[in-house]
Amino acid sequence: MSEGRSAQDIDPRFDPRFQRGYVPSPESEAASVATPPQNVVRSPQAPTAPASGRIPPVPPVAVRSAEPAEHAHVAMPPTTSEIRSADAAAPDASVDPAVFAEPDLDGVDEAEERRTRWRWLWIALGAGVGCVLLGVGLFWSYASDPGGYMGRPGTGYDATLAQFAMSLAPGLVQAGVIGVVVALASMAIFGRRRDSGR
Amino acid sequence: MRAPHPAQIALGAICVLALVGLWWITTAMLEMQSVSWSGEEPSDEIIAMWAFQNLAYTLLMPALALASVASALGLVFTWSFSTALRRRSDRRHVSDRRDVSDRREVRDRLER
Repeated sequence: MSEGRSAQDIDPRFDPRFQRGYVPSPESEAASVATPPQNVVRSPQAPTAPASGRIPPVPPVAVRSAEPAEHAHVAMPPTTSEIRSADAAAPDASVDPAVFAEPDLDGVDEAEERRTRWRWLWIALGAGVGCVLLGVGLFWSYASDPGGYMGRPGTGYDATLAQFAMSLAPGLVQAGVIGVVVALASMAIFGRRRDSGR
Repeated sequence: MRAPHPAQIALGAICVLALVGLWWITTAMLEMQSVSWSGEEPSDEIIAMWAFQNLAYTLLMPALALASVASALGLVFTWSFSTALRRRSDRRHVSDRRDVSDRREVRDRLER
């Protein structure tokens, strides 16, 4: 169908080099390499040619660069020496030097939080000691009652209550011991963190 | 070497006191086993001895053993934690000094 097309039938909307019947000349070859034709690539804004046949101007799109590779400009990040020389040459006056000042780490909230934490640690320590004393006292109050050993009725010794108290007391004492140890260990840890400035 | 925190001293004291108390109770219990009584009713001293044996076996010996072991573990834990914290603090101190010198350099450059 296109066998009979001549050089005059070259469609000006497209690159003539890729059309049948194109005869390259040395000037046109050099020109096409250096600067691509204006209408080589259609912009997305003009997907179709107007009916009048007039080609609207299309922004040039570089298809190929004739520049040697060593002269081609490639965007590279600046080197450290370039940054240093630029900084030394022209200091940026828009940057406030106060930005680089030391931050103030001593806040009121932090001190309040620390005080609250220590208060709760002291409360936990006191509760642990209280549990130990309560357990020992509870146990001793029933263990030292002669009614528990004699088995005599009418002495006011309640065996059920005594059994309950003497079963509860070891748990109280051991929980208190663990609480005291944990509270002391936490005090040591928080004290060290405070000493180290946190 | 850093001085121990008072809470660490308290933990160490609890550990030592618990071990000493456990030893004292164990020897006292062995001595009490040789005590005997006669008559219809035991004397008050015998009842107090029974009460003490009851208290020791049921409550004091487990609690003291627990206290000694737990406080020893707490000591080890707090000691290793404070050592790790000190090492990190030293590293941060060196890093902060570098940062401060860098900031000073930049600030001087900006002020110039």
